Amino acid sequence: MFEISSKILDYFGISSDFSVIVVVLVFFVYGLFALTFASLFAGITSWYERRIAGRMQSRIGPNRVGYQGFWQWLADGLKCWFKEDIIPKDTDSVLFRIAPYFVFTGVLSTFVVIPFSPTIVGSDMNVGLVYIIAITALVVAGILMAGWASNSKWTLLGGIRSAAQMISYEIPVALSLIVVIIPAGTLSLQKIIQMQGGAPYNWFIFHNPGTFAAFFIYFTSALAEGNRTPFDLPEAESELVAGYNTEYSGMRFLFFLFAEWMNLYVIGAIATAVFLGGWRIPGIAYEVQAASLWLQFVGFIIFLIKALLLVNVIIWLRWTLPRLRIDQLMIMCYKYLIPLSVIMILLSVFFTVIYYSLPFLSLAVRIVLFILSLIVAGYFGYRVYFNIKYFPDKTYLRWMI
Amino acid sequence: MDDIMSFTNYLANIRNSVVSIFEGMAVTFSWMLRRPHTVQYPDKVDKGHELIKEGFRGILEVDVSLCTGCLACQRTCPIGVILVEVSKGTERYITRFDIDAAKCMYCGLCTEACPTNAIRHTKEFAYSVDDIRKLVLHYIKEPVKPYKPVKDATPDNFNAGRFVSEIVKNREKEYVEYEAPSVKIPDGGQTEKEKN
Repeated sequence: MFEISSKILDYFGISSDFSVIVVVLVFFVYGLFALTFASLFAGITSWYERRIAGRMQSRIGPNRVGYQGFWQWLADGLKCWFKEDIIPKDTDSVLFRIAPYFVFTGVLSTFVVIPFSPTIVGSDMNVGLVYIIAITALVVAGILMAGWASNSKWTLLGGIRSAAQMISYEIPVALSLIVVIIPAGTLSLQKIIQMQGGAPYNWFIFHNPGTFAAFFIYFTSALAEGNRTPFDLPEAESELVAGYNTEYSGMRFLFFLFAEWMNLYVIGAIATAVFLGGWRIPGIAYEVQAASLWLQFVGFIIFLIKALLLVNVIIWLRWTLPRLRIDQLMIMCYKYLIPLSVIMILLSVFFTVIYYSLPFLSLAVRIVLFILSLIVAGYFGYRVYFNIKYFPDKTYLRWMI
Repeated sequence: MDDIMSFTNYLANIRNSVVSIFEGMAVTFSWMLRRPHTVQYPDKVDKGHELIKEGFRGILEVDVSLCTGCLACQRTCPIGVILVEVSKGTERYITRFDIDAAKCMYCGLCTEACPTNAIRHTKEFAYSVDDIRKLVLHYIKEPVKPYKPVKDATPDNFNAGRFVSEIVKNREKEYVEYEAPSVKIPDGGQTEKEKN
């Protein structure tokens, strides 16, 4: 945003006395853009997820409000908006009121460094990834606050579980990002994207076997950090009513859900930027893309498509896997993901050093990994075809009503 | 989870989780590509009727032209849903055949007792009204002669559901039809007619 504001200053010839106002204004507009984008994304995803859930469970899903029920999210929002904001007796009312905003702010603040295109980014910090890991700690604080302040055993248990889970899973998230930081040599998200190519085999996910595995480790632990199924223990309905947000109602309750759905985009966007080439267009150099407004827009669309595909996978996982038990969750973190990500760091170091002396090996490994993942994707398509062919509709009972 | 975890166990666990997630996602994705089984209820109710299986115990209906007036259904019914009245005399007439659909628990005993299959279940299930008394279905509007059983008779034109679907279609006119009981004025001995 600093680049854009300096361009505006130059274009209008504004003297340096007023430059602060212009810069603040540009940042304010960008902040509004990010807030609108995140809120619209959260709202529409809430409808989209229910539709997908319906189809995967062989039912229809919400389809009453507007075309295919598209405006369902607005109806839900309005409903929550008009609801009474109940604050139970004997709660710590200040913490109770503040907690949802902590969670919301914690997730929204990551939009500062999440890029949309070469120049459209809140701030291209040189410690971008560290900033993301640090700022999401606000979410832990907010959830623990909500759990404590509600003065209810369900919320307290949910909050404590959530804190344990999120703090544990921050470790594999950070470690799996280090796997990419080693070959990239930078923490800035924009620079990491610059170092990748547009073509899939130039992405960091195919850089070496270590980064390939790190992508999946990151994805799994990011899901757990964001309290998504199959790791949604803080709000396990069967045990904890609704976890930390049991006592909430109205808009405060909605803010928790906003944060949850915004977090989907955050997970997808970080994975896209770090592993999947971000806004790079195949066959176009970075300098050319950064100079042209049109190519930046194409890059924005490409980034969005990649991130939304990952969001789709997250939703799809939610309706596939059952919830883990709390001990299984911790075993998975401390016995599997952390040791594996440490091994991947070593692998990544090994390959990065080797590529310096043997540059041709780099391309060979990338292409082999790319072809391997294509084969896996093809086999997946075959499995889907197999399931449709050998478990046809008519064999299932068609219970009506 | 094993306390003593060998290295092969460890690797097997990773392999199992990867394979099961892979296969599970293939299954859910294949289901996402299919049409939903459920039907939006009030919008597509005709399609729903095709989906209902044979043997569905819906609302009871009576083919009065087959009724022998034997009262077997009335005697079998455990909760007194059915009320049949047959006039006595040289010429027997069935003067009343009422089914209280609000009471019926769809046990199906009456359909088994009926010798001519005059009383039977249909696939009709949606018949809510604003007054519970309207759920008493009157199948006889004018006295009918009882059916005389024929030996080795085969059912012709057996079409379960035709009477009830008529009733449901003409819900406004026929289904709602119910006669208010004649109310006596409690204090005096006069009815309203006598007053006037």
